[in-house]
Amino acid sequence: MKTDVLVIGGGPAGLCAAIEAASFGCKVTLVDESLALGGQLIKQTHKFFGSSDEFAGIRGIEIAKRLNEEVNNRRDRIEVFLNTSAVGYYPDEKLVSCMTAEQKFFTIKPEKLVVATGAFEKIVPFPGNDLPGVYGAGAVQTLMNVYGVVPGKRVLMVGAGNIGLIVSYQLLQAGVELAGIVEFAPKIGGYWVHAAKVRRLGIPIYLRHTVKRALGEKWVEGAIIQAIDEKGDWKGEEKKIECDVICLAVGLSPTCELLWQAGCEMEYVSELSGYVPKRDETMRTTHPDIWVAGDASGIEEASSAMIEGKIAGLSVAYSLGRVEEFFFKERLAEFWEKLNLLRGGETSQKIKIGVEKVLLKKDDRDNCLDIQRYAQARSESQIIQYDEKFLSGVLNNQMVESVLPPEALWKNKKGGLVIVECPQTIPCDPCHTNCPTGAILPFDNINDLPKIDYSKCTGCALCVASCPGLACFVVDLTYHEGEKAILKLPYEMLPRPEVNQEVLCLDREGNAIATGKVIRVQEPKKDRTLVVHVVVPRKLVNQIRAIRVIKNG
Amino acid sequence: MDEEIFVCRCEEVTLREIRDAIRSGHTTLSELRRLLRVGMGPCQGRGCREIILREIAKQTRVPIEKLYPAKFRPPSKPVPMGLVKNNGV
Repeated sequence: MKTDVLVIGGGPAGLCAAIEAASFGCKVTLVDESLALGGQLIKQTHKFFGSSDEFAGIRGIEIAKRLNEEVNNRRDRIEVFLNTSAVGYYPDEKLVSCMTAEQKFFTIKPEKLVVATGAFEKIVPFPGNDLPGVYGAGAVQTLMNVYGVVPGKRVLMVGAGNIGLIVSYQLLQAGVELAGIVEFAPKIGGYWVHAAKVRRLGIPIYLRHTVKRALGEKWVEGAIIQAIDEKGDWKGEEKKIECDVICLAVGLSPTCELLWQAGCEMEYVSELSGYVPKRDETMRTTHPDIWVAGDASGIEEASSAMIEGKIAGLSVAYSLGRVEEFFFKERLAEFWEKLNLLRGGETSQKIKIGVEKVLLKKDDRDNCLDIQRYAQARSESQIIQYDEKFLSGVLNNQMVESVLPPEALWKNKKGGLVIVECPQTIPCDPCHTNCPTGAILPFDNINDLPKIDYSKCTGCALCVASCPGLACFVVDLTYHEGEKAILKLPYEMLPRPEVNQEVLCLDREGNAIATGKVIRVQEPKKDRTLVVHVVVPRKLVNQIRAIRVIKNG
Repeated sequence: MDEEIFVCRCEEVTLREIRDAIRSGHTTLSELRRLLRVGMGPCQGRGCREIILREIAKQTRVPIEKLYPAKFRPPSKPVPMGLVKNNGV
């Protein structure tokens, strides 16, 4: 069969590429090997970061639904093949071979091709890694979040990047015990706020540690972990971890077999986590009819994958003569502005370095847009160097001081004032866009740390409900009863706390340091993030950051 | 302990076998594929390619960026022969 545009992969990048190209009138064919569109989005139960103009504050699974709707609205122009793998590219004939459900084999001859094939999980070699019970984090997410099956009773997570941290949190939500998280690097690789979420539920993160071997004969019955020194050699004592699941979240590699087969120029770029194609600012590879988007072009976040998808979709439409040059350039510049903003935080610095290595510049090709002009995002990185506690997701005492409201205003403020524990420059703005009083000030750059005008804060806790990192809290010191205060905190666990219930109050490392009484439970955004009002000892308001419902019996 | 570690899970090739082969002079992934069948199973090397390249890099002291990851040929996923016969390419 023939088509204008073939998009391979129906994840965030591929969906956006298909929607964008179709919106300019291109006939698009979209193939995806899963049974449903959405790629990894359908497993993402957490709220996304990024800009509120896009999808910040919305759960991945919800984003998948919205993109699906957009595809469905364009069904006259987008033909979808599910359960279909693109298994080969034949450069001489410009043919893509596809297979549906191992039952049907056919070829597609597209005018233009967008490869949005995503990524696959890396594994680490250790003795026993072939035992049942050793999972990739993607498999654990599929089991839990797609099929509702828990992977085991007690999990050791390997890797504290965003995937390791998010899946750890999801395991806790599913009621699975977590023995801890080991991380090879001297600091967490994922967003700090994701680490803080699991730390305050009592999960240790062992930095500069890794799994040495899996224990067990027929399945995983435990694991040995050990520290490593700067050179990567074993150091100190071995430590035995009780667990029946070892979950590997040690990174992803771009899936780019088809690009190799097509003869695209490829380069190994460690910052982008593997072999990736050289591309220009329109996401076109060195093959004139092939574009790339999303993780296949380098491992990054879904939010940037979506913009890359739009860039590829727009550029494909332009190359087919469906878009006016002026409009194309304007829209391309807009997309790059957004992409650069998303890459403006400290955790994205390496992405920028990686992209720079494979970006084909003006000298290499004609008619390129000068993207540097639009690279207005902050270039100076603010890598925070603090103690080990901080680097594993726990605020140290000195930093706690710096996030507290001014005492004089705070102590008499009915309703309380906000405390935002967000110490890392990441692209995110829902705390501001959800603030009804303007207390959380507008961001010049969405990577900036939140700034607060406490005089405007009413303690309404809408930021508490909307922060994707669960990093906002409200403390009301005006509670009428003696040495108590009200803490309003975000809660996404089961069981749901009831009014008048006694709950355990946990500090930033998950230690139970007091009991509190629930006086109100809200769900302001109707999105399953609760805001729980708890009466707690006043002297502990700066320590308590989570609650645990005491189980009956 | 190396012998217990399966690097290529599809073809059940261990880290020791791979290290021995590299040591005896087979320092490209293409050679190792022919010799040991690493990366020739159903996943076509997705799981092991990078681990093996790192081993080659370590022993030959050539950075991984400079190594060639061997030829990629269609199909990148197993296709039953009957399907190809019936439909042709």
